[in-house]
Parts: sequence; structure tokens; C-alpha cells
Amino acid sequence: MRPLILSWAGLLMLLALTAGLAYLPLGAAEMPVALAIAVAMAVTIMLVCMKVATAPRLATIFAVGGLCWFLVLLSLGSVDYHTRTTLPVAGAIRPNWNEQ
Amino acid sequence: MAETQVGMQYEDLRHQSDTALIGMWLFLATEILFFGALLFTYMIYRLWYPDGFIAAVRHANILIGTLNTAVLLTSSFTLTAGLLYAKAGDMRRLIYSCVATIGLGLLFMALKALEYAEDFRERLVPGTNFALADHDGARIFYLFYYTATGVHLVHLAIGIGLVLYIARRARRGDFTAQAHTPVEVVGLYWSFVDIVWLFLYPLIYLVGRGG
Repeated sequence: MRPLILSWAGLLMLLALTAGLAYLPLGAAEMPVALAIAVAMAVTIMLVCMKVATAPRLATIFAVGGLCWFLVLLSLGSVDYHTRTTLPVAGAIRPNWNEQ
Repeated sequence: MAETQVGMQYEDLRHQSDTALIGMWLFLATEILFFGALLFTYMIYRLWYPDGFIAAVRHANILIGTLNTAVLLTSSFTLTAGLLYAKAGDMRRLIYSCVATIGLGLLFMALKALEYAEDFRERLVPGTNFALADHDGARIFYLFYYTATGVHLVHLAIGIGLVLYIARRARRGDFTAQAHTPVEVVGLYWSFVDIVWLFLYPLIYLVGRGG
């Protein structure tokens, strides 16, 4: 029970840290820092609560597979949005409800 | 059915338990993609409309958001404590842990309802009379906000139902120190719902607030 309580306290401290950092002018580093803390918290929960390290081998493969598919989603999905030059998608779908 | 009973398709209790755990992990892998697509959409629109998203983040209620994150983190640990009690054969404490987890889940929902009420009062609902109409992209942020937090709430409601089911089965005496796989399976689901919130929290309440 002791490691469990220590991990919980650690996570609450990380929560306080990320909430506090939100008020600092970190500029472009804001998103990476916030996401890095979120990843650290998620990994702690996966290790302590979900016991991913001692899960059945096939379960570990599914967990890693899920993350890999997510990375594929992000990378291949981004290709279109970051390279599109001819179709002004943002302008085309931008709602203009104020004029109604 | 008591958990000590082995289904005819399994070799032994271990095989049965591993199959259930693997099944939940496979389901969670599909859930990563489900929520992943939502997060991906957020990232794309945030790149397109940085000003609208920053204005919207600054209107989100960070106090309720942070409190709710602490509540959800704590609930993951009460349920994990329940699993440790189940492993030790202490089913009475497992039931107490389930009750605490359900209570924290309901507290999260109550705080979220308060936050929604405040959002409605402040006209932070995309459509006509939207308070941030001057900020391009703020409507898209709030569409994401209601979709993501709404879907997350549905997951949480299902989780509360599952923990209630675990408590009832524990009370009926279905679990033993050796056979309590449903507690582990439901614990995996609950922790995943917690992890999803850990990523929604900075995107909705934090990033864009500083400077």
C-alpha cells in the first residue's frame, strides 16, 4: 500500500506543478511541457494502477500496438494538413455565424 | 458465477484470467484511437486558430478542472487499493474501496455539471450569442470541449456502473484472494478513463493561459 500512496502523492504534486506552470509565460514551450507532464502522469498510472509491466505478454503487445497506431494516426494525418497548398480548407469551413 | 469456476474453453483459472485482461487491453487499444482522433483534430485546429483557442482556454474554469483532475487521480488509487485488498482476501475493504471510487466518480460529474452550468451562463456555447464570437476558432474549441468532455463523461458513467457491479459481486462472495479478475479488468478501464482526462486537462484548461 505504501508505494501506492507515494505514487498518488507524487501525481498530485505533478498536477500542482503543471497547473502552476500554466501561469508562466513559457511561450512555445507551453504545449510540450504540459504534454510531457501529462505523459509522465499517464506512465505512472500505467505502471502503478494498470500494472502494464506485469500484464500478460499479449496485453503488453496490444498496449504498445495501440500507441503505435496512434502515432500512425498523428503522423499520416498531419501529412495532409501540413503540406496542403492548393485548398484553403480553413477558410472554406470557417463558420461566419455573426453575419446571420 | 463465482470467479473460481473455470469456463470449459479455458485450461485453468490463469488462462481464463489472462484472456479477460488481454480482451480489456485490446478494447483499450481501440479507445486510444477513438480519443486519439479527437486530440488530433484539436491539434490541427489549434494550429489554424491559435488566437481563438488561447482566448477560449483563458475562459475555461481552471479551478474546477484542476479539482476534477485531483478527484479522478484519487479515484484510480482507491480502486487500485481495492484490488490490493482483493488480493489479500479482504473483500470488505474491497467493497469500501469501490464505494469510495463511485463517490469520487459522482463528485467529478457534479463538478462538471457545475462547470457546464457556468459555461451556459457565460454564453460559452457555440452558436448565436456566443460570448467569444470575435475570436476566430473559439467556437471550434468549444465544440471540441463539449464533445471531448461529454464522451469522457459517458465513459465515466459506464465506469461507475462497472465498479458498482464489482461491489455487488464482492458482497455476494464471488471473489477470492486467488480469483478476482473482474476487479482487475474494471480497474484497467477506470485508469484508462483517468489517463484520457490527464490529456484533456492541459489542452482545455492550461496551454495558452500563461503570458
